[in-house]
Amino acid sequence: MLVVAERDQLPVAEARTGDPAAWETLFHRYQLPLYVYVFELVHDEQASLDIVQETFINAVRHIGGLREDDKIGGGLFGIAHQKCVQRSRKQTREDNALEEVGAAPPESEAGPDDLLIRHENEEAFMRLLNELPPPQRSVLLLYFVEDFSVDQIAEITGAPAGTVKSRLYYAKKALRKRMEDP
Amino acid sequence: MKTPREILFERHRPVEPRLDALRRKVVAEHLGERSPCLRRNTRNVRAAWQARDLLRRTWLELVWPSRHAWAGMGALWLVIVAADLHMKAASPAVPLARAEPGAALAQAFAEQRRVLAELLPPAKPRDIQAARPGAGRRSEQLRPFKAC
Repeated sequence: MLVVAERDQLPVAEARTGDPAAWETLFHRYQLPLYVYVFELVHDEQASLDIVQETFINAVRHIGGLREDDKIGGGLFGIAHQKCVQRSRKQTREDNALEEVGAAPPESEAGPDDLLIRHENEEAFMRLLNELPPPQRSVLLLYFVEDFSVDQIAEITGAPAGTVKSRLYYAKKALRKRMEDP
Repeated sequence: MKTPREILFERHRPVEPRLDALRRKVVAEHLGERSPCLRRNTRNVRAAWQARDLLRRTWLELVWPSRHAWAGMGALWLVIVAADLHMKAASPAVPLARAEPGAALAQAFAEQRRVLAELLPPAKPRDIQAARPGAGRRSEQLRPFKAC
């Protein structure tokens, strides 16, 4: 069972003063979610570890720029996302084909845990996730890993909220369809 | 049945020892005693807290207990300032006279010189020459040569 500390219990105020114990707690809370997010985008263990490390260092240096304490998670994922984008730009151009999908997605009330996957389908889920274009995969990972809202994901990725909503909708739709019809 | 989050986290759980090592390294190198970043942050935060604490204590110990007296004194000062401004606005001659003290002084000085010039007769050039201690030919002023 995954144990995740509540965001409002995190010692962000203490971290601002440079308290090493507070930073330990923050890093411990976010190290695995950050790594999962980065790895599923870059698919390179060493590169993912490097990006997580750079994210932590940047967070220590720029904690003063964080306006609200409860946005520490979004701030960390925002730094990690930028690092991933920089890396992918060096390698290849991102596939933005699905950004041009026209119809506005309908509102969805379902949470990230509404998609339950059988044990025998886990490999298929991972394969299908990796088949998604990077922009959709990124949005879906942020949604699955940290349950970020559309606005938070928009802040992290720097994309408009409408685009995020569209990407999330079509990514979930594609994932469901492929899971149901293997 | 598992949620996508559980599947993702379980798949990457084996990398946690490396993440722990990485975390400790970052904390040791960037948040240790010698870290300039930490020193700067700590110094700034401490200074801000000290300033806030000083303001708070001053307010609580000096102002708040006698707040009625401070308010009364403030109101009195406001009345005094208002009265002063009102009086200045009512008599414009006073600031005008004060505006040029140098000119008035120069005028008075010139008047004094004129009165003195009227009272005292002007000095003659011959008298002036006679009054000088070293007046006359230069040769007459020479003292006789003394042999050693």
